[in-house]
Amino acid sequence: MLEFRTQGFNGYSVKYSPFFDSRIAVASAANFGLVGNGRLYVLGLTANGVVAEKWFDTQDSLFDTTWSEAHENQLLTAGGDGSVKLFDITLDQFPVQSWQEHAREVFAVHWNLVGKDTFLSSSWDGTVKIWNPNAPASIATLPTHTCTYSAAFSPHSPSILSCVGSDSHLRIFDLRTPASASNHLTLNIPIHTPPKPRMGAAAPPGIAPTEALTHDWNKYRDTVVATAGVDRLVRTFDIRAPQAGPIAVLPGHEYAVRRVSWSPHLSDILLSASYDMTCRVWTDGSAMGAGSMKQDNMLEDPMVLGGGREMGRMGRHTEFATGVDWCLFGAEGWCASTGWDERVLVWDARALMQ
Amino acid sequence: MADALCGPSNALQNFQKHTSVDRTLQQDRLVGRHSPLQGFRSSPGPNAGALDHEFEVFQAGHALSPQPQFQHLPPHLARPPPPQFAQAPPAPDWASDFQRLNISHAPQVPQQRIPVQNTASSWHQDFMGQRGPAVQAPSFQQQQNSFGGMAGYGMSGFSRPGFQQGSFGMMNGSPMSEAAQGKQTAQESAPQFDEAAFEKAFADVQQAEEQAHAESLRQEEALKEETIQDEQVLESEDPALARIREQRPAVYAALKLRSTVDLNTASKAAPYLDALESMETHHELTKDASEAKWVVDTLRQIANREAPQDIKSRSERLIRAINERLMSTYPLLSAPIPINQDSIWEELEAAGYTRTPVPEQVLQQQQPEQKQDEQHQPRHDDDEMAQTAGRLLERVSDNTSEKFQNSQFFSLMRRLRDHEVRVEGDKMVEVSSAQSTSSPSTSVPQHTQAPPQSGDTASATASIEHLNDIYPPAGMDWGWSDPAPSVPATSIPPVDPNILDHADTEFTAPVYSGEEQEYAALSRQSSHEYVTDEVSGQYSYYNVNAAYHR
Repeated sequence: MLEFRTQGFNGYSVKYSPFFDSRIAVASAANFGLVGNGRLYVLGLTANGVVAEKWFDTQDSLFDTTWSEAHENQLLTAGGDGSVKLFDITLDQFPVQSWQEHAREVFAVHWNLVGKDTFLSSSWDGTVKIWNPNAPASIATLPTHTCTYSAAFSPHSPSILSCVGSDSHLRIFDLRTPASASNHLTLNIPIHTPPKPRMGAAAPPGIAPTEALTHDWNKYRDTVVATAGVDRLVRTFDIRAPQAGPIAVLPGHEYAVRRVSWSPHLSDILLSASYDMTCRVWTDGSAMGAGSMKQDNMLEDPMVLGGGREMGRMGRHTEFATGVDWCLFGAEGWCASTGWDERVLVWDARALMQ
Repeated sequence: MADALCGPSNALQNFQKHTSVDRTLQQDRLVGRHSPLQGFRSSPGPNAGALDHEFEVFQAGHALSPQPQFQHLPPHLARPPPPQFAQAPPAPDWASDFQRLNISHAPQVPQQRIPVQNTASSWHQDFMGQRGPAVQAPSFQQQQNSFGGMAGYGMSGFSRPGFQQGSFGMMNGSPMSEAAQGKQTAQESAPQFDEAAFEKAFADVQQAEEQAHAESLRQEEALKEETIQDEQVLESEDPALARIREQRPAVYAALKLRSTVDLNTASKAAPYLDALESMETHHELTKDASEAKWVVDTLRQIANREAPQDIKSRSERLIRAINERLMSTYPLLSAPIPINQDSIWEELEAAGYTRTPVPEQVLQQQQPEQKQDEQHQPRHDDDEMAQTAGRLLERVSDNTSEKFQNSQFFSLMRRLRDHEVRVEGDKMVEVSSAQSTSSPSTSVPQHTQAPPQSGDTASATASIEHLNDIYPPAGMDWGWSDPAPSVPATSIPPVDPNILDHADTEFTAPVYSGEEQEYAALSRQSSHEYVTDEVSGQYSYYNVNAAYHR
């Protein structure tokens, strides 16, 4: 396990570069993001451990970052002052571009993985904005009417994107649909709906809606999305059957889940970071032989659904774990995590899996 | 929390159904407004358009329709003037002056009044702790000045010019407070009637009236007697007093009664006594317990000083009647009655009837007070922050794991909760050091440097609140609040004739804080007439003849 200390700054998000296997970006904020400056670290994995190759200081806290898919040296940040900034790591100090349209904290930025010419940002002001890095203003605004904590493009389509927010709904937007009263909104899936009761099993308990803090698209099954949030459950949904409820429910975290990320290598593995200061590796039970061996009617925990289970946990963080990301290269299972303990950890998830 | 954080819902959503063209850009309420603050600041006022139109009409030389400029006046002032004042028709050029003044001033009236009404109570409570009476003075005083000027202008057109400024302008504004300076040595925490200024003001009213009416209205003595109340209402009230008159008729009547007694014009006291008595019989007076208590206090002061015998006896009868009805209406132990006289005092203060004890330091202290206000705002945010941190800690209090015990974040939350640390600008500051630097001697550079960014603090609070999400709500917990005391509004409850026999007529709100206090307040051992339990005597306070007991 490799470690880097982001002295004086509490990590909020970590992302592996899609171009280099040894480059990691970390968005961090002073004072736990309550007030004060932010800092964007670009870390290099070297023979001497993790070193900071570059960092950029910002006026306000940074809550998220994402690498450009079109340019290997550029990356975006989401700022607490409502700004979205594009940095180039070959330049010093200042961002290449800064967009200031959001009225509240921007909590997520994500680059279009297929189109590569657009990116999105989501904010507490209740909007998701689509941008082109060459345009001075946003090219579309999708109202969500809720504090949108997380938004992402589908890895399989340039025009499908999703977001979750405090109203406990997973929204799917399709930009190909004609603009109408629905503002490209095609699906609005309530996350808190219990799964359909099955024959011979007790009806699952109902859960009050709580804020959804994060979600991620499965990299192999193009209709599967995982969500997680305040109710401590990781759920997966199939957007082909939006009314059917979750296809897998993974209980286990003791506090709210702050970040989930599907493995880029295995279709059933996902990683989560939580306010209970742990990062956990899960299988959603969709891979053959990976889930629990029990019969459907003999589930030990009434919350568990879909045969998934926790495969391992990493408890080295001493404050809230806020960010995780998988390495796209090399041996499957390498990942990085960050948290409010001012540390970035790079570790191998396979060592934890049982 | 979610709704508070999110922006308002898009009002244009329905509108979008009319079109199939992609107008998301045009309809986006946030595009083009690059800084939200700027968007707020540069927006025109609510009635900018209407005023433009009015101004154009005015410039074109047309007369405006006479209605609009009376909108801001209380309804009874909007009536046409009484016939005896119609003898001097207003000149046309004066009328246009009047209209122009209204165009520029009328919209300000509600805007000025709103802060007083909304913030007064909480603001008052906030300052109760440190009770520097001087802090209250400026805003109220300024408020009054502007009102005094407005009212004086607006009404002098219909009555005699000069009268208003001479008497009530002085009462409302600074001359009165200067006149009262001599008495301010004895500073009490409760606002006091400023007797001297009060009497002087009324004497002035009296004089002005006498002079003005001396020749022209002598033969109409009888008529004058009849219309004198209306006249006083029309001439001598500023908006704040008129508001009291409308909203709290009992307080108004008691006030007037008291002023007539103070001015030894007892002949005029009868209508107010009549009004109070009729209000009492119709159960209007006791609808609001705090108002009734205020009236009783005032009446008792009247009864205790030298006044004509009939007024004294009527006041005493009235006191007794009100007390009886109060006690019958609000049976003991039924529901706590909120008695809050602060609002009455504040309204009276706004009407210029009382003075705050330290009037003369107002001018010198205005500068530091503004700073104190500035400082006050962040402190309020700090409180919010501390509360949020406290809630957060409460939610994880059952977690005894070593990690959570040693967490730096939670130790910061603890210090925030205990006010050891606070957010200032974009930094976390130790409170002890911050306090030492913000003492009056060294605070000046700090203030001029950079005003505290309350927006930052607010967003910081928001982000902590977001952390409250780390633990889900245990269940849907709808806040349960005490039901308001159920007072039957339609039926007048019967008055129990014996209810005062065992009552402390100097009663205050029943004390419910603890059992001992409750019984100590209630047990009256003086009379054993109604003892129901002869052995213990523990029910001796209990009135078996009471209406609620039957």
